[in-house]
Amino acid sequence: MMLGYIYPNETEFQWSVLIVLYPFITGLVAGAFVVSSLYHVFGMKALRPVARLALITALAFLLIAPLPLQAHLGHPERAFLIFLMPHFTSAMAGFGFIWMFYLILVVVETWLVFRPDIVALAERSSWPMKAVYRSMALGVYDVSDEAMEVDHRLIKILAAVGIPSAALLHGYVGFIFGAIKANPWWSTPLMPVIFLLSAIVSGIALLMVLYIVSMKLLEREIDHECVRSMSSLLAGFLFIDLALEGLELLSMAYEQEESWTIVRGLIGRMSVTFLGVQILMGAVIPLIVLGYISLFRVERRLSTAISTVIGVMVVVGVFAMRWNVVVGGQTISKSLRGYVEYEWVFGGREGIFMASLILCLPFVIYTVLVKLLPPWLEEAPAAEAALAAPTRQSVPALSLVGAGAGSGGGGGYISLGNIAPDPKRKRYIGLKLTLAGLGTAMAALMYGVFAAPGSPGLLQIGGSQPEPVLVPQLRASFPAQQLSVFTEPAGGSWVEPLDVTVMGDGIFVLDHAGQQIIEIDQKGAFVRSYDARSVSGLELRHPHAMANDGTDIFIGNTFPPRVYVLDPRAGLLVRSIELPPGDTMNLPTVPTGMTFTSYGNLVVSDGQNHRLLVLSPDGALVQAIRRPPGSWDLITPNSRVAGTAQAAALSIVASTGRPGSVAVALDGTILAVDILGPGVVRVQRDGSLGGEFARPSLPETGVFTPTDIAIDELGRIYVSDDLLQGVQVYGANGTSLGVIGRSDPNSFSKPADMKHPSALAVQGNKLYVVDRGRGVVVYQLPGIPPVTAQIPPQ
Amino acid sequence: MSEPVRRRAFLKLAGRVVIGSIVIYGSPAAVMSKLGQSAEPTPVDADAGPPGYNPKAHQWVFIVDTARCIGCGRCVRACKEENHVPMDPRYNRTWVERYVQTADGEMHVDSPDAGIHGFASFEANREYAGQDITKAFFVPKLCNQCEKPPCVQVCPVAATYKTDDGIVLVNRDKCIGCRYCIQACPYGARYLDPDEHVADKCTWCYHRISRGLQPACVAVCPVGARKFGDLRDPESEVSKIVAQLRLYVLKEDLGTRPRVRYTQLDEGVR
Repeated sequence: MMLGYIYPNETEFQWSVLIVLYPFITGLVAGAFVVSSLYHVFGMKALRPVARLALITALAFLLIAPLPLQAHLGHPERAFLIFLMPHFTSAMAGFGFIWMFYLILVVVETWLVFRPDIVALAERSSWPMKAVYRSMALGVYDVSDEAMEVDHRLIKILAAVGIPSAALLHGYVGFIFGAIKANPWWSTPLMPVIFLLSAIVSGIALLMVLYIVSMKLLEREIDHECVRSMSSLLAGFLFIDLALEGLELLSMAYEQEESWTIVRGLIGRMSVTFLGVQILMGAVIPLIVLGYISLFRVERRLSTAISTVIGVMVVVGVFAMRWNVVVGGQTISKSLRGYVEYEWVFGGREGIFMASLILCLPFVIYTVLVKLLPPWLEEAPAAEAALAAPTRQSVPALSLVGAGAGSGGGGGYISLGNIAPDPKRKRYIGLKLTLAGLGTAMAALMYGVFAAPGSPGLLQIGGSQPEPVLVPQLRASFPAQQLSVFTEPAGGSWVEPLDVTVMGDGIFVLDHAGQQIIEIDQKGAFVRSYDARSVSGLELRHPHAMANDGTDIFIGNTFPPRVYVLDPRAGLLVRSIELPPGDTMNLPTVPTGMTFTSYGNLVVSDGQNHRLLVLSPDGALVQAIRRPPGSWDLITPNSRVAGTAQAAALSIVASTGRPGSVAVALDGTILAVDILGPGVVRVQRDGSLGGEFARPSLPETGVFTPTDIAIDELGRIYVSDDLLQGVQVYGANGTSLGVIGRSDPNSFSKPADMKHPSALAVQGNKLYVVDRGRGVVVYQLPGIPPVTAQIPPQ
Repeated sequence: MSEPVRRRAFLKLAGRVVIGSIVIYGSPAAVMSKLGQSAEPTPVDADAGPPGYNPKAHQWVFIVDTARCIGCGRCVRACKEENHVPMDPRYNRTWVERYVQTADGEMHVDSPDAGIHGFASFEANREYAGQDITKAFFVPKLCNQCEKPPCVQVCPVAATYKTDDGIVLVNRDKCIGCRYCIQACPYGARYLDPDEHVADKCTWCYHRISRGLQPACVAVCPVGARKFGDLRDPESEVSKIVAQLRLYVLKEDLGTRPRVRYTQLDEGVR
């Protein structure tokens, strides 16, 4: 699927939805971490309720970040090479180190922040959780004030280091794309900054949503002040992000470089995901709404609800931004002349399923981590008190959970509803239902991939499997057996053999550059040469064609245009026939082919004037055959006279039909090779068109550079082709019978018998082919008895 | 007085972090590195020259005479056969583009099935039916073997590398299949081998040229539109062409310094 021109190798899409996920997930990590650092380093007290949650979120997404890359690799088992032998000029080589550094940083900071909780939980809980917490404590149970102070100092340092690290982690992802000069949609120095800002934006938005939803599910009090400051932060970063993106587009549109046309077209093609989702839904509307709720008095609960919706919109908008960069950028052809179409794949390693699976995983890890290390532990006594209060109703919370958990929640709701209202057991009911819902959804997806009929397997390597393409076996071999090759006449020499005619036992080879005719016998031995010295008046200047009538050899000479009639037995020039010039501007005739009709008339094709001349044996002009108007002129489909359906539909670009060699078929029609058509044209006795064949529109039968034509006594038609380096054989009606002279007619890299087949002659069951400049190759034709009456060949 | 306690706790913690990190992340790496992988590019046997071939003694160059090309597509076919490139038209080491300018000044570009069957078919010419064509020419494309190859720059594991004679090759045993090089190539010369899942590209038939042969596409070209040779040999045809004719390269503005030189290029050929 494509529009315009794309390089052939661009047909396959390289980076698809998994590579969209990768910057999206790392962006969420960077954003969430920045929020926690804002509290730990810059002391934004309002963010205290989410500071610990932010760390958990960052960790959950960070653990999954390499997964889409890993799943996308052609050789996932070699991924470790990126750590072991990084090639440091590659932006991608840094990924392993930056990711690992960041992982250590986040793990250590999380551990330090949650250390008092871990110690407390290790003491409080029972087997087996006690063992888990004890292992997490790493043997450190010192929660004295001094130890806490050390912890806090370390946390502050780590959080401070974490901010540039987050910038590095995500700015670097932007650089991966921004540094590709081959792609005009990616190549901009602003890319890392835009990636970083959109990362922070998405991280804040996600954290906001996660916080509000988690609190709702856990039936805890939402700190509206915290949500409000997060909204303000979101609005601020969103504004800078939008400004930078606008700036980039503006400079592209203003500079109007070579690539602008294609980029403008791309924006039009991505109007929904780019202008609609990314810009309007993901940035402009949130900016306006957030600006409104921070500038004007809005009721707290309402503003929190609005913030939740806006948060979702922003996260979706940032996802669309990643999509537009990664997928959008690849839809531009690097030829700047067209667009590649992205095709959706469900199964396989790079399908939608794999992407949804990977996108689900951070939320699963998040749920587990939150369960293991509740980030809101400090407020727990208050919440527990609230839960235990008899006035509190659990029904609204349950219905919320049901909605959140989707299809999986229904059954759980009923069964859980019957459990005795033990407040302790009910505490994580929302989380449990969410987990159940996620699990069910994933199981359903898994079923869809593995069990559904016809769905592609998950473990199938490669996003899209190449279609099985057979090597086109267009041409067949014609079973002619090579008898002999005469590269030099034994006892003589030639310079540039060009044409051949066979009369009796003699093979007469036209030596074009030697300006002579060499007669050899059937064993290739030199018999005699005919030139101006040995035959008076035989002044050969660029002779191109020969024919014989059984007694005399007829030689078509170009300068001057005349036909010499040579009696080889007597070694005399019998006569010469002057060829009349053409009608247009009196252009001289160039005899490009000669043959005899069954009535004994000589047919001379005149390539110069696009006509066939029919001469009586005494040289008088009987008929001048022109093709119907236009057909030997510039060939277009409109001027093509229908012989067959294919021929009617034929179109040849900017080439002129020109008759080359001619031969007479058994039914008396003249077959003329159209050199530039290319193809073979059948001319009726009255000069009208009787059809045509061997056009290259049919690759299995067409000719490319036809040089000569000959007919055997069974009516089979032989056309030598210089480009094909072989002889095409056709039945009397033009159907293809195969190729002579190629060991593999479908392979141009396999050897051919001839380099430049330029002329043909048939006598009985033998086919004589001139390999121009080299010699004569003789084949035995199948299906013809060896002893035959001699038929005058061409 | 609380100072020693703090310091001890801090050191203890830091020590644990450092040792833990080394144990967790260092040991697999240490084991892997013992497996004999090195960061130095290592040529692949299949592509490497024969023993005795000295890459430093050559400076290969490829010249495409667009005026000669007749668009027969034999080069594309020969390349696929020589290098076992899939016959699927989505994967090509070389291809032929056709540029057709119609009377309205519009330049049309196409490369049906990468040009492997030529351009004479009815389908390839349908859009020009009844149109006046003012000029048309063919442009064979292949890897430019850039002097500053972006593909080599971006490979995260140095699986693709430049030899001393200027050819960019891919170590198929090392390529991780990330496809960054495919994205980085401005000429669309690379593809992911669908069978082995590694990046693949034209090598100018390194296995042939290092044995004194011509690349397959050059050998089968019936009109001499593709020329290949050594700039170190002043008597070679390519040396004379480079010395005497005006030659162009594709996408010069990207600074990749391609080694494939074109004659008679027209505006809009990229």
